[in-house]
Amino acid sequence: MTTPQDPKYAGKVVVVTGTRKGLGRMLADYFLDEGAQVIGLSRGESSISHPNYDHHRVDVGDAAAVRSVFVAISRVHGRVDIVVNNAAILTSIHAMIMPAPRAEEMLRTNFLGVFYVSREAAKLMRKHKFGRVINIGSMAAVLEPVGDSVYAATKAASMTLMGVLAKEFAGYGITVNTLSVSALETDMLDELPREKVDAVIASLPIPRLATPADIFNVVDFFASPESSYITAQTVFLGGVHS
Amino acid sequence: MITREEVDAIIFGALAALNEERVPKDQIDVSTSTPLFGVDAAIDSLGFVSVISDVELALNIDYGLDISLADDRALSRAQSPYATAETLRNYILELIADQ
Repeated sequence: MTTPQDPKYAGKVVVVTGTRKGLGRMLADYFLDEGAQVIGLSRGESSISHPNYDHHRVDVGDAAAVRSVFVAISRVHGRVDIVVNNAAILTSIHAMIMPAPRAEEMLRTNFLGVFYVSREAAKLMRKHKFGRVINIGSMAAVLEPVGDSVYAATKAASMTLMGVLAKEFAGYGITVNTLSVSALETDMLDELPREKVDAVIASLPIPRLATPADIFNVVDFFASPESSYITAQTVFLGGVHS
Repeated sequence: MITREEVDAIIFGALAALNEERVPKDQIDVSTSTPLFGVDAAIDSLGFVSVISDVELALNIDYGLDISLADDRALSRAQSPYATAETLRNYILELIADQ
């Protein structure tokens, strides 16, 4: 007879950005199912109703607002164990006609948002000498698809950021890693022409879309207490490589 | 209004937290003259970041004061506000007065 396993994240406080939909929503649901206290950060209203879920409406690109949210988290929960930087904006359009506000919005959310959230989380993680910062990257950072100039650059920049943060946070028991997602069936994928997505997927060593299970598998690996010697790494799904 | 003594207590608390992680022979002197930054600093860069983070968080949580101690103003001063616990306290009081 099999017995149910203990939830993987019981007692853990997990912050996930961009939880209203897509991968962020999937990750929040996964951590909740696995017993975590989840705090979601999104610009919009919460789409999750669960006794262990707190939602904060915040623009992750606003340094002061992010700081205030983490002070509030500290007051209520006293700690953060894991943060997943998932929130991202994608506008795919030729560079010559990319509207400047869209470019700036991507830089603000996809890069500065990762920086602000990671550093505020690290301030709380430091106190317990344990922390896992997980950055959701993209294959666009290395495949450099046409139309994704700013998006790809923000994802590449955030990978470099993770490398530096890994060094700065290591002394506090905090690891910092990137999970570079290939393509997942979400609303963000709908932003791209389907034939373009299909062509990229067909070119991968494992030519299929990623599944939530593929993502949770790597998230579990990075988040595990046993992964204390794993930092400044990027795992690419589907065989994408730089 | 937060008092000078209360700010000192917050800074001393941050230094004491560092001491909890140190072996007896490496204990930091906890006083207003404790050098925090520069060639004579009693703490390394990780310790300095910890102290600044702890002080900012305590000011925010305990007193509702949202103050950034590493702002442009602090970084551009000829005389570093981080030199000692006392200069840090004076800088904090200055920031609060300007709010």
